[in-house]
Amino acid sequence: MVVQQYDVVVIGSGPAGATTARIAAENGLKVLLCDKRQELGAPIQCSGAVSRHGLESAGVEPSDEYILEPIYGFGIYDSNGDSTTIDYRQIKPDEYGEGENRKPLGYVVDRRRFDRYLMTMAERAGVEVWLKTEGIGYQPIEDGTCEIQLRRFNEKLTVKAKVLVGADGLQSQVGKWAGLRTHIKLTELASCLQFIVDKVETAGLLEIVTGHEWAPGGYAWVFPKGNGYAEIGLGVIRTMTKLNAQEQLDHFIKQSFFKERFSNCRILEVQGGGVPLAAPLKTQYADNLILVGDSARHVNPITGGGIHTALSSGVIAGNFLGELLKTHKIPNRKNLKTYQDLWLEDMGNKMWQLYEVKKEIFNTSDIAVRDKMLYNTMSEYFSPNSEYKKI
Amino acid sequence: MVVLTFIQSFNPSIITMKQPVIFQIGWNACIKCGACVAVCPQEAGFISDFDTIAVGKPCDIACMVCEDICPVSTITHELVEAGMNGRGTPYFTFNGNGKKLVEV
Ligand SMILES: Cc1cc2nc3c(=O)[nH]c(=O)nc-3n(C[C@H](O)[C@H](O)[C@H](O)COP(=O)(O)OP(=O)(O)OC[C@H]3O[C@@H](n4cnc5c(N)ncnc54)[C@H](O)[C@@H]3O)c2cc1C
Ligand code: SF4
Ligand code: SF4
Repeated sequence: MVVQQYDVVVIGSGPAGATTARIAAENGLKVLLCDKRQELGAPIQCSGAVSRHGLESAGVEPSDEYILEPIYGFGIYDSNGDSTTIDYRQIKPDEYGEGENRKPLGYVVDRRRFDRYLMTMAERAGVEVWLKTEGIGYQPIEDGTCEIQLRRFNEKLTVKAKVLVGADGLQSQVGKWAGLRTHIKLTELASCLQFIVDKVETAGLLEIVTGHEWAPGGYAWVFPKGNGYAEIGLGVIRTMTKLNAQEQLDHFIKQSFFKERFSNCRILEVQGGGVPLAAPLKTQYADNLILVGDSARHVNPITGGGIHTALSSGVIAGNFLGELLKTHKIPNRKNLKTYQDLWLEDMGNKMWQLYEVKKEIFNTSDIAVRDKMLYNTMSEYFSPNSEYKKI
Repeated sequence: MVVLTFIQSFNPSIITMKQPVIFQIGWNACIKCGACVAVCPQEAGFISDFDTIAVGKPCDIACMVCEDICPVSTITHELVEAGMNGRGTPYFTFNGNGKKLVEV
Protein backbone atom coordinates (compact mmCIF):
# COMPACT_ATOMS: atom_id res chain seq x y z
CA MET A 1 0.00 0.00 0.00
CA VAL A 2 1.31 3.44 -0.88
CA VAL A 3 1.25 5.74 2.11
CA GLN A 4 0.26 9.28 1.17
CA GLN A 5 2.74 11.91 2.26
CA TYR A 6 2.04 15.49 3.25
CA ASP A 7 4.02 18.35 4.67
CA VAL A 8 1.28 19.05 7.18
CA VAL A 9 -1.78 17.13 8.38
CA VAL A 10 -4.32 19.14 10.39
CA ILE A 11 -6.83 17.35 12.61
CA GLY A 12 -9.97 19.38 13.18
CA SER A 13 -11.49 21.93 10.82
CA GLY A 14 -12.74 24.59 13.20
CA PRO A 15 -11.49 28.19 12.91
CA ALA A 16 -8.02 27.20 14.17
CA GLY A 17 -7.47 24.17 11.93
CA ALA A 18 -8.96 25.59 8.74
CA THR A 19 -6.90 28.77 9.10
CA THR A 20 -3.66 26.94 9.88
CA ALA A 21 -4.24 24.72 6.83
CA ARG A 22 -5.05 27.65 4.52
CA ILE A 23 -2.03 29.72 5.54
CA ALA A 24 0.29 26.69 5.35
CA ALA A 25 -0.95 25.97 1.81
CA GLU A 26 -0.45 29.61 0.85
CA ASN A 27 3.13 29.10 1.98
CA GLY A 28 3.47 26.37 -0.63
CA LEU A 29 3.03 23.36 1.65
CA LYS A 30 1.12 20.19 0.82
CA VAL A 31 -1.64 20.04 3.42
CA LEU A 32 -4.36 17.57 4.43
CA LEU A 33 -7.20 18.84 6.64
CA CYS A 34 -9.42 16.23 8.35
CA ASP A 35 -12.57 16.55 10.39
CA LYS A 36 -14.67 13.78 11.85
CA ARG A 37 -17.93 15.61 11.37
CA GLN A 38 -20.37 15.38 8.49
CA GLU A 39 -21.35 19.03 8.84
CA LEU A 40 -18.76 21.36 10.29
CA GLY A 41 -19.85 23.42 13.26
CA ALA A 42 -22.81 21.14 14.08
CA PRO A 43 -24.08 20.60 16.69
CA ILE A 44 -23.29 24.23 17.55
CA GLN A 45 -21.20 24.73 20.67
CA CYS A 46 -20.63 28.45 20.32
CA SER A 47 -22.43 31.81 20.38
CA GLY A 48 -20.56 33.04 17.33
CA ALA A 49 -19.55 36.56 18.37
CA VAL A 50 -16.39 37.72 16.61
CA SER A 51 -14.88 41.15 15.97
CA ARG A 52 -14.52 42.48 12.43
CA HIS A 53 -10.88 43.11 13.20
CA GLY A 54 -10.50 39.43 14.16
CA LEU A 55 -11.85 38.31 10.79
CA GLU A 56 -9.95 40.82 8.70
CA SER A 57 -6.61 40.22 10.41
CA ALA A 58 -6.91 36.57 9.39
CA GLY A 59 -7.82 37.49 5.80
CA VAL A 60 -11.46 36.43 6.17
CA GLU A 61 -13.94 38.67 4.30
CA PRO A 62 -17.13 39.38 6.22
CA SER A 63 -19.79 37.57 4.15
CA ASP A 64 -23.55 37.16 4.17
CA GLU A 65 -22.94 33.46 3.71
CA TYR A 66 -22.27 33.10 7.43
CA ILE A 67 -23.14 36.39 9.18
CA LEU A 68 -26.32 36.31 11.23
CA GLU A 69 -26.22 39.87 12.51
CA PRO A 70 -23.83 42.84 12.72
CA ILE A 71 -22.80 44.07 16.18
CA TYR A 72 -22.11 47.67 17.18
CA GLY A 73 -21.24 47.49 20.85
CA PHE A 74 -21.92 46.08 24.29
CA GLY A 75 -24.30 46.37 27.21
CA ILE A 76 -22.77 45.29 30.52
CA TYR A 77 -25.13 44.64 33.46
CA ASP A 78 -24.51 44.17 37.15
CA SER A 79 -26.60 41.71 39.14
CA ASN A 80 -29.33 44.28 39.81
CA GLY A 81 -29.68 45.31 36.20
CA ASP A 82 -27.75 48.57 36.35
CA SER A 83 -25.77 48.85 33.17
CA THR A 84 -23.04 50.45 31.13
CA THR A 85 -23.68 50.80 27.41
CA ILE A 86 -20.71 50.95 25.08
CA ASP A 87 -22.29 51.66 21.71
CA TYR A 88 -19.71 52.45 19.05
CA ARG A 89 -22.48 53.99 16.90
CA GLN A 90 -22.51 56.77 19.50
CA ILE A 91 -18.85 56.80 20.49
CA LYS A 92 -17.49 56.95 16.93
CA PRO A 93 -20.47 57.71 14.68
CA ASP A 94 -18.30 58.45 11.64
CA GLU A 95 -16.74 55.02 11.74
CA TYR A 96 -19.36 52.65 13.10
CA GLY A 97 -22.94 52.13 12.05
CA GLU A 98 -25.12 51.14 9.15
CA GLY A 99 -24.87 52.61 5.67
CA GLU A 100 -22.15 54.10 3.47
CA ASN A 101 -18.57 54.15 4.77
CA ARG A 102 -19.56 52.95 8.19
CA LYS A 103 -18.96 49.49 9.50
CA PRO A 104 -19.99 47.15 12.27
CA LEU A 105 -17.66 46.48 15.19
CA GLY A 106 -18.19 42.76 14.80
CA TYR A 107 -20.66 40.06 13.94
CA VAL A 108 -22.61 37.15 15.28
CA VAL A 109 -21.91 34.27 12.91
CA ASP A 110 -23.61 30.94 12.30
CA ARG A 111 -20.85 28.49 13.18
CA ARG A 112 -22.18 25.88 10.74
CA ARG A 113 -21.86 28.26 7.80
CA PHE A 114 -18.77 30.01 9.18
CA ASP A 115 -16.74 26.83 9.67
CA ARG A 116 -17.74 25.61 6.21
CA TYR A 117 -16.71 28.98 4.75
CA LEU A 118 -13.28 28.77 6.41
CA MET A 119 -12.86 25.19 5.20
CA THR A 120 -13.79 26.27 1.66
CA MET A 121 -11.19 29.05 1.82
CA ALA A 122 -8.61 26.43 2.77
CA GLU A 123 -9.78 24.10 0.01
CA ARG A 124 -9.49 26.89 -2.56
CA ALA A 125 -5.97 27.65 -1.33
CA GLY A 126 -5.00 24.09 -2.31
CA VAL A 127 -5.65 22.16 0.90
CA GLU A 128 -6.98 18.61 0.52
CA VAL A 129 -10.02 18.27 2.80
CA TRP A 130 -11.45 15.02 4.15
CA LEU A 131 -14.67 15.08 6.14
CA LYS A 132 -15.97 12.05 8.06
CA THR A 133 -12.32 11.43 8.92
CA GLU A 134 -11.32 10.95 12.52
CA GLY A 135 -7.76 11.14 13.77
CA ILE A 136 -6.97 8.19 16.03
CA GLY A 137 -3.24 8.29 16.69
CA TYR A 138 0.26 9.36 15.63
CA GLN A 139 3.86 8.21 16.04
CA PRO A 140 7.06 10.09 15.19
CA ILE A 141 9.25 7.80 13.07
CA GLU A 142 12.97 7.49 12.41
CA ASP A 143 13.13 9.51 9.19
CA GLY A 144 12.08 12.62 11.15
CA THR A 145 8.44 12.58 9.97
CA CYS A 146 5.42 10.99 11.63
CA GLU A 147 2.71 8.50 10.82
CA ILE A 148 -0.89 9.40 11.50
CA GLN A 149 -3.73 6.91 11.80
CA LEU A 150 -7.10 8.00 10.48
CA ARG A 151 -10.50 6.44 10.12
CA ARG A 152 -12.36 7.65 7.03
CA PHE A 153 -15.88 6.35 6.35
CA ASN A 154 -15.01 3.31 8.47
CA GLU A 155 -11.78 2.62 6.60
CA LYS A 156 -8.58 2.72 8.64
CA LEU A 157 -5.65 4.31 6.90
CA THR A 158 -2.24 5.78 7.64
CA VAL A 159 -0.73 8.94 6.18
CA LYS A 160 2.69 10.50 6.69
CA ALA A 161 3.47 14.12 7.49
CA LYS A 162 6.33 16.25 8.64
CA VAL A 163 4.10 18.01 11.15
CA LEU A 164 0.75 17.05 12.64
CA VAL A 165 -1.38 19.98 13.80
CA GLY A 166 -3.86 19.24 16.59
CA ALA A 167 -6.76 21.65 16.08
CA ASP A 168 -9.31 19.30 17.57
CA GLY A 169 -10.89 21.76 19.94
CA LEU A 170 -11.80 21.68 23.58
CA GLN A 171 -11.89 17.90 23.99
CA SER A 172 -8.47 17.54 22.34
CA GLN A 173 -7.14 14.02 22.09
CA VAL A 174 -4.26 14.83 19.74
CA GLY A 175 -2.28 16.49 22.53
CA LYS A 176 -2.84 13.45 24.72
CA TRP A 177 -1.34 11.23 22.01
CA ALA A 178 1.95 13.01 22.70
CA GLY A 179 1.48 12.88 26.46
CA LEU A 180 0.50 16.55 26.83
CA ARG A 181 -1.95 17.17 29.65
CA THR A 182 -4.67 18.93 27.72
CA HIS A 183 -7.57 18.48 30.12
CA ILE A 184 -8.93 21.54 31.91
CA LYS A 185 -9.56 21.82 35.64
CA LEU A 186 -13.19 21.75 36.77
CA THR A 187 -12.60 25.11 38.47
CA GLU A 188 -11.54 26.64 35.15
CA LEU A 189 -14.03 25.25 32.65
CA ALA A 190 -17.32 27.12 32.43
CA SER A 191 -20.26 24.80 31.88
CA CYS A 192 -22.49 26.58 29.36
CA LEU A 193 -26.01 26.28 28.05
CA GLN A 194 -27.76 28.58 25.59
CA PHE A 195 -31.13 28.83 23.89
CA ILE A 196 -31.84 30.42 20.54
CA VAL A 197 -35.16 32.13 21.15
CA ASP A 198 -37.95 33.96 19.41
CA LYS A 199 -39.70 37.02 20.88
CA VAL A 200 -36.80 38.64 22.70
CA GLU A 201 -35.78 42.02 21.31
CA THR A 202 -32.16 43.08 20.83
CA ALA A 203 -30.48 46.23 19.51
CA GLY A 204 -27.22 45.29 17.80
CA LEU A 205 -25.39 44.96 21.11
CA LEU A 206 -23.81 41.99 22.87
CA GLU A 207 -25.36 42.09 26.32
CA ILE A 208 -23.40 40.64 29.20
CA VAL A 209 -24.92 40.06 32.62
CA THR A 210 -22.50 39.68 35.51
CA GLY A 211 -23.21 38.65 39.10
CA HIS A 212 -22.90 35.53 41.21
CA GLU A 213 -26.68 35.32 41.52
CA TRP A 214 -27.12 34.67 37.79
CA ALA A 215 -23.91 32.99 36.67
CA PRO A 216 -21.53 31.95 39.46
CA GLY A 217 -17.96 31.97 38.17
CA GLY A 218 -18.96 33.14 34.70
CA TYR A 219 -21.56 35.42 33.16
CA ALA A 220 -24.89 35.32 31.35
CA TRP A 221 -25.53 36.85 27.94
CA VAL A 222 -28.16 37.96 25.45
CA PHE A 223 -26.92 38.11 21.85
CA PRO A 224 -28.76 39.10 18.66
CA LYS A 225 -29.01 36.12 16.30
CA GLY A 226 -30.46 37.59 13.11
CA ASN A 227 -33.99 37.34 11.68
CA GLY A 228 -35.32 38.82 14.91
CA TYR A 229 -34.06 35.94 17.01
CA ALA A 230 -31.87 36.17 20.08
CA GLU A 231 -29.73 33.89 22.16
CA ILE A 232 -29.92 33.65 25.95
CA GLY A 233 -27.10 31.75 27.56
CA LEU A 234 -24.75 31.44 30.47
CA GLY A 235 -21.67 29.73 31.76
CA VAL A 236 -21.04 28.65 35.36
CA ILE A 237 -18.14 27.21 37.30
CA ARG A 238 -19.59 24.11 38.90
CA THR A 239 -17.50 24.33 42.06
CA MET A 240 -19.22 27.67 42.76
CA THR A 241 -22.84 26.56 42.46
CA LYS A 242 -25.06 23.63 43.29
CA LEU A 243 -27.17 24.28 40.20
CA ASN A 244 -26.11 22.96 36.82
CA ALA A 245 -26.02 25.26 33.80
CA GLN A 246 -29.52 24.27 32.75
CA GLU A 247 -31.01 25.02 36.17
CA GLN A 248 -29.01 28.22 36.44
CA LEU A 249 -30.29 29.34 33.01
CA ASP A 250 -33.84 28.62 34.05
CA HIS A 251 -33.27 30.74 37.17
CA PHE A 252 -31.85 33.58 35.06
CA ILE A 253 -34.72 33.53 32.56
CA LYS A 254 -37.49 33.32 35.16
CA GLN A 255 -36.15 35.35 38.09
CA SER A 256 -33.73 37.99 36.83
CA PHE A 257 -34.38 41.67 36.06
CA PHE A 258 -34.95 40.47 32.47
CA LYS A 259 -37.86 38.21 33.37
CA GLU A 260 -40.43 40.54 31.75
CA ARG A 261 -38.30 40.81 28.64
CA PHE A 262 -38.02 37.02 28.43
CA SER A 263 -41.59 36.25 29.46
CA ASN A 264 -42.81 35.35 25.95
CA CYS A 265 -39.62 33.73 24.73
CA ARG A 266 -39.89 30.53 22.71
CA ILE A 267 -36.96 28.16 22.46
CA LEU A 268 -35.87 27.35 18.90
CA GLU A 269 -32.53 25.61 19.52
CA VAL A 270 -30.62 24.21 22.51
CA GLN A 271 -26.82 24.49 22.45
CA GLY A 272 -23.99 24.44 24.93
CA GLY A 273 -20.50 23.38 25.76
CA GLY A 274 -17.46 24.15 27.82
CA VAL A 275 -15.48 27.38 27.79
CA PRO A 276 -12.03 27.38 29.35
CA LEU A 277 -11.54 30.41 31.60
CA ALA A 278 -8.00 29.18 31.96
CA ALA A 279 -4.41 29.97 31.15
CA PRO A 280 -2.98 28.83 27.81
CA LEU A 281 -1.51 25.33 27.77
CA LYS A 282 2.08 25.53 29.03
CA THR A 283 3.45 23.16 26.40
CA GLN A 284 1.79 23.33 23.01
CA TYR A 285 4.28 21.26 21.02
CA ALA A 286 5.93 17.83 20.88
CA ASP A 287 7.98 15.95 18.28
CA ASN A 288 6.25 16.49 14.89
CA LEU A 289 3.28 18.08 16.64
CA ILE A 290 1.82 21.46 17.49
CA LEU A 291 -1.55 22.40 18.99
CA VAL A 292 -3.64 25.36 17.83
CA GLY A 293 -6.89 26.93 19.08
CA ASP A 294 -8.99 25.50 21.90
CA SER A 295 -6.81 22.39 22.04
CA ALA A 296 -3.98 24.63 23.30
CA ARG A 297 -6.48 26.73 25.26
CA HIS A 298 -6.03 29.75 23.02
CA VAL A 299 -9.08 31.31 24.62
CA ASN A 300 -9.55 34.70 26.22
CA PRO A 301 -9.87 33.87 29.96
CA ILE A 302 -12.07 36.89 30.70
CA THR A 303 -14.60 36.75 27.87
CA GLY A 304 -14.27 33.08 26.90
CA GLY A 305 -13.97 34.25 23.29
CA GLY A 306 -11.97 31.81 21.21
CA ILE A 307 -12.83 32.45 17.55
CA HIS A 308 -10.59 35.46 17.04
CA THR A 309 -7.75 33.82 18.96
CA ALA A 310 -8.19 30.58 16.98
CA LEU A 311 -8.00 32.51 13.69
CA SER A 312 -4.95 34.51 14.78
CA SER A 313 -3.21 31.42 16.12
CA GLY A 314 -3.91 29.68 12.80
CA VAL A 315 -2.17 32.50 10.94
CA ILE A 316 0.84 32.28 13.26
CA ALA A 317 1.01 28.48 13.00
CA GLY A 318 0.57 28.41 9.20
CA ASN A 319 3.27 30.98 8.57
CA PHE A 320 5.59 29.37 11.10
CA LEU A 321 5.24 25.96 9.42
CA GLY A 322 5.86 27.56 6.02
CA GLU A 323 9.14 29.06 7.24
CA LEU A 324 10.24 25.97 9.13
CA LEU A 325 9.72 23.55 6.26
CA LYS A 326 11.10 25.92 3.61
CA THR A 327 14.38 25.99 5.52
CA HIS A 328 14.33 22.17 5.87
CA LYS A 329 14.55 22.27 9.64
CA ILE A 330 13.70 19.01 11.39
CA PRO A 331 10.27 19.31 12.98
CA ASN A 332 11.36 17.99 16.36
CA ARG A 333 10.26 19.25 19.73
CA LYS A 334 13.11 21.68 20.00
CA ASN A 335 12.46 23.40 16.67
CA LEU A 336 8.70 23.45 17.17
CA LYS A 337 9.06 25.33 20.44
CA THR A 338 9.65 28.43 18.31
CA TYR A 339 5.98 28.28 17.34
CA GLN A 340 4.96 28.65 20.95
CA ASP A 341 7.48 31.45 21.50
CA LEU A 342 6.08 33.35 18.51
CA TRP A 343 2.57 32.75 19.73
CA LEU A 344 3.36 33.99 23.24
CA GLU A 345 4.94 37.11 21.87
CA ASP A 346 2.04 37.87 19.55
CA MET A 347 -0.84 37.22 21.94
CA GLY A 348 -0.12 34.54 24.52
CA ASN A 349 1.58 36.83 27.01
CA LYS A 350 -1.47 39.11 26.96
CA MET A 351 -3.65 36.07 27.62
CA TRP A 352 -1.52 35.16 30.61
CA GLN A 353 -2.04 38.70 31.93
CA LEU A 354 -5.79 38.38 31.44
CA TYR A 355 -5.67 35.08 33.27
CA GLU A 356 -4.11 36.83 36.27
CA VAL A 357 -6.90 39.43 36.20
CA LYS A 358 -9.51 36.68 36.01
CA LYS A 359 -7.90 34.78 38.90
CA GLU A 360 -7.85 37.84 41.09
CA ILE A 361 -11.57 38.38 40.50
CA PHE A 362 -12.70 34.83 41.12
CA ASN A 363 -10.38 34.22 44.07
CA THR A 364 -12.13 37.04 45.89
CA SER A 365 -14.39 35.35 48.41
CA ASP A 366 -16.66 38.29 49.26
CA ILE A 367 -19.42 37.94 46.67
CA ALA A 368 -20.40 41.62 46.60
CA VAL A 369 -16.79 42.69 46.07
CA ARG A 370 -16.23 40.00 43.46
CA ASP A 371 -19.40 40.99 41.57
CA LYS A 372 -18.25 44.59 41.47
CA MET A 373 -14.78 43.60 40.25
CA LEU A 374 -16.22 41.51 37.42
CA TYR A 375 -18.67 44.22 36.39
CA ASN A 376 -15.93 46.86 36.35
CA THR A 377 -13.52 44.63 34.47
CA MET A 378 -16.09 43.75 31.80
CA SER A 379 -17.11 47.40 31.43
CA GLU A 380 -13.49 48.44 31.00
CA TYR A 381 -12.59 45.51 28.83
CA PHE A 382 -15.02 46.47 26.07
CA SER A 383 -14.40 50.22 26.23
CA PRO A 384 -12.60 51.91 23.32
CA ASN A 385 -9.55 52.55 25.51
CA SER A 386 -9.03 48.99 26.65
CA GLU A 387 -5.49 47.77 26.27
CA TYR A 388 -6.82 44.30 25.53
CA LYS A 389 -9.06 45.35 22.65
CA LYS A 390 -7.15 43.35 20.08
CA ILE A 391 -7.57 39.94 21.75
CA MET B 1 -17.45 -10.59 52.20
CA VAL B 2 -16.20 -8.85 55.30
CA VAL B 3 -17.48 -5.33 55.37
CA LEU B 4 -15.46 -2.79 57.33
CA THR B 5 -17.50 0.34 57.10
CA PHE B 6 -15.76 3.62 57.39
CA ILE B 7 -17.49 6.80 56.42
CA GLN B 8 -16.04 10.20 55.82
CA SER B 9 -16.78 13.31 53.82
CA PHE B 10 -15.95 13.08 50.19
CA ASN B 11 -12.85 15.08 49.38
CA PRO B 12 -11.21 14.23 46.09
CA SER B 13 -7.83 15.58 47.16
CA ILE B 14 -7.35 13.15 50.04
CA ILE B 15 -9.18 10.10 48.80
CA THR B 16 -7.13 8.54 46.07
CA MET B 17 -8.18 4.92 46.15
CA LYS B 18 -11.41 4.77 44.23
CA GLN B 19 -13.57 1.99 43.03
CA PRO B 20 -13.80 1.99 39.26
CA VAL B 21 -17.04 3.22 37.76
CA ILE B 22 -18.86 2.70 34.50
CA PHE B 23 -20.76 5.64 33.07
CA GLN B 24 -24.09 5.86 31.35
CA ILE B 25 -25.17 8.85 29.32
CA GLY B 26 -28.83 9.84 29.10
CA TRP B 27 -28.65 10.47 25.36
CA ASN B 28 -32.00 12.18 25.29
CA ALA B 29 -30.66 15.13 27.31
CA CYS B 30 -27.04 15.05 26.08
CA ILE B 31 -26.20 17.99 23.79
CA LYS B 32 -22.99 16.34 22.50
CA CYS B 33 -20.89 19.25 23.71
CA GLY B 34 -17.72 17.46 24.80
CA ALA B 35 -17.39 19.36 28.08
CA CYS B 36 -17.13 16.06 29.96
CA VAL B 37 -14.19 15.03 27.76
CA ALA B 38 -12.51 18.40 28.21
CA VAL B 39 -12.24 18.05 32.01
CA CYS B 40 -11.35 14.36 31.94
CA PRO B 41 -7.80 13.42 32.99
CA GLN B 42 -8.03 9.94 31.42
CA GLU B 43 -5.59 8.91 28.74
CA ALA B 44 -6.32 9.47 25.04
CA GLY B 45 -9.29 7.61 23.65
CA PHE B 46 -11.53 7.50 26.72
CA ILE B 47 -14.35 8.89 24.58
CA SER B 48 -17.53 7.78 22.87
CA ASP B 49 -18.55 8.37 19.28
CA PHE B 50 -20.75 11.28 20.39
CA ASP B 51 -18.16 13.60 21.94
CA THR B 52 -18.77 12.27 25.46
CA ILE B 53 -16.59 10.30 27.85
CA ALA B 54 -16.49 6.57 27.19
CA VAL B 55 -19.50 4.48 28.08
CA GLY B 56 -19.47 0.79 28.92
CA LYS B 57 -15.84 0.67 29.97
CA PRO B 58 -14.60 1.18 33.51
CA CYS B 59 -12.81 4.30 34.66
CA ASP B 60 -10.46 3.68 37.56
CA ILE B 61 -9.64 7.33 38.19
CA ALA B 62 -13.26 7.96 39.17
CA CYS B 63 -12.73 11.65 39.94
CA MET B 64 -16.33 12.32 38.79
CA VAL B 65 -15.65 15.78 37.40
CA CYS B 66 -17.25 14.68 34.11
CA GLU B 67 -20.57 14.40 35.95
CA ASP B 68 -20.07 17.79 37.57
CA ILE B 69 -19.32 19.72 34.37
CA CYS B 70 -22.25 18.35 32.36
CA PRO B 71 -24.56 21.34 31.64
CA VAL B 72 -27.62 19.08 31.69
CA SER B 73 -26.49 16.55 34.35
CA THR B 74 -27.05 13.60 32.08
CA ILE B 75 -24.13 11.42 33.16
CA THR B 76 -24.70 8.71 35.78
CA HIS B 77 -22.52 5.86 36.94
CA GLU B 78 -22.51 2.40 38.38
CA LEU B 79 -19.77 1.01 40.57
CA VAL B 80 -17.70 -1.79 39.23
CA GLU B 81 -17.66 -4.73 41.68
CA ALA B 82 -15.45 -4.41 44.77
CA GLY B 83 -12.00 -5.92 44.86
CA MET B 84 -8.47 -4.88 44.01
CA ASN B 85 -7.95 -2.34 41.26
CA GLY B 86 -5.22 -2.47 38.64
CA ARG B 87 -2.72 -0.80 40.96
CA GLY B 88 -3.19 -3.46 43.61
CA THR B 89 -5.07 -1.21 46.00
CA PRO B 90 -8.49 -2.02 47.42
CA TYR B 91 -11.48 -0.18 46.09
CA PHE B 92 -13.89 1.84 48.05
CA THR B 93 -17.50 1.94 47.23
CA PHE B 94 -19.47 5.08 47.83
CA ASN B 95 -23.12 5.48 48.51
CA GLY B 96 -25.19 8.37 47.20
CA ASN B 97 -23.52 10.34 44.45
CA GLY B 98 -19.97 10.39 45.67
CA LYS B 99 -20.87 12.07 48.94
CA LYS B 100 -19.84 9.39 51.44
CA LEU B 101 -17.32 6.63 51.20
CA VAL B 102 -17.83 3.15 52.46
CA GLU B 103 -14.98 0.69 52.38
CA VAL B 104 -16.06 -2.78 51.33
C1 LIG C 1 -21.31 27.85 24.65
C2 LIG C 1 -20.12 28.48 23.99
C3 LIG C 1 -20.21 29.77 23.49
C4 LIG C 1 -19.10 30.36 22.86
N1 LIG C 1 -19.25 31.61 22.37
C5 LIG C 1 -18.20 32.20 21.74
C6 LIG C 1 -18.34 33.50 21.16
O1 LIG C 1 -19.43 34.10 21.16
N2 LIG C 1 -17.26 34.07 20.58
C7 LIG C 1 -16.05 33.43 20.53
O2 LIG C 1 -15.09 34.00 20.00
N3 LIG C 1 -15.89 32.20 21.04
C8 LIG C 1 -16.94 31.56 21.65
N4 LIG C 1 -16.78 30.29 22.16
C9 LIG C 1 -15.47 29.63 22.04
C10 LIG C 1 -15.28 29.10 20.63
O3 LIG C 1 -16.38 28.32 20.25
C11 LIG C 1 -14.02 28.22 20.54
O4 LIG C 1 -12.95 28.87 21.19
C12 LIG C 1 -13.62 27.95 19.10
O5 LIG C 1 -14.61 27.18 18.45
C13 LIG C 1 -12.28 27.22 19.03
O6 LIG C 1 -11.98 26.88 17.71
P1 LIG C 1 -11.08 25.63 17.38
O7 LIG C 1 -10.90 25.67 15.90
O8 LIG C 1 -9.90 25.60 18.24
O9 LIG C 1 -11.94 24.35 17.79
P2 LIG C 1 -13.40 23.84 17.34
O10 LIG C 1 -14.19 24.94 16.75
O11 LIG C 1 -13.96 23.14 18.51
O12 LIG C 1 -13.08 22.79 16.20
C14 LIG C 1 -12.53 21.54 16.46
C15 LIG C 1 -12.85 20.63 15.29
O13 LIG C 1 -12.09 19.43 15.46
C16 LIG C 1 -12.89 18.34 15.08
N5 LIG C 1 -12.33 17.14 15.74
C17 LIG C 1 -12.22 16.90 17.07
N6 LIG C 1 -11.61 15.72 17.29
C18 LIG C 1 -11.31 15.21 16.07
C19 LIG C 1 -10.65 14.02 15.64
N7 LIG C 1 -10.17 13.12 16.50
N8 LIG C 1 -10.51 13.81 14.31
C20 LIG C 1 -11.00 14.71 13.42
N9 LIG C 1 -11.61 15.85 13.77
C21 LIG C 1 -11.76 16.11 15.08
C22 LIG C 1 -14.27 18.72 15.53
O14 LIG C 1 -15.23 17.99 14.79
C23 LIG C 1 -14.30 20.21 15.24
O15 LIG C 1 -14.81 20.48 13.94
C24 LIG C 1 -17.88 29.66 22.77
C25 LIG C 1 -17.80 28.36 23.24
C26 LIG C 1 -18.90 27.76 23.84
C27 LIG C 1 -18.80 26.37 24.36
S1 SF4 D 1 -14.39 10.02 36.46
FE1 SF4 D 1 -12.74 11.47 35.97
S2 SF4 D 1 -11.28 10.26 34.82
FE2 SF4 D 1 -13.16 9.06 34.86
S3 SF4 D 1 -14.24 9.58 32.97
FE3 SF4 D 1 -14.99 11.01 34.55
S4 SF4 D 1 -13.65 12.78 34.39
FE4 SF4 D 1 -12.65 11.11 33.29
S1 SF4 E 1 -21.03 17.14 29.15
FE1 SF4 E 1 -23.06 16.18 29.25
S2 SF4 E 1 -24.18 17.10 27.54
FE2 SF4 E 1 -22.00 17.51 27.14
S3 SF4 E 1 -21.33 15.77 25.87
FE3 SF4 E 1 -20.89 15.22 28.01
S4 SF4 E 1 -22.73 14.06 28.62
FE4 SF4 E 1 -23.32 15.17 26.78
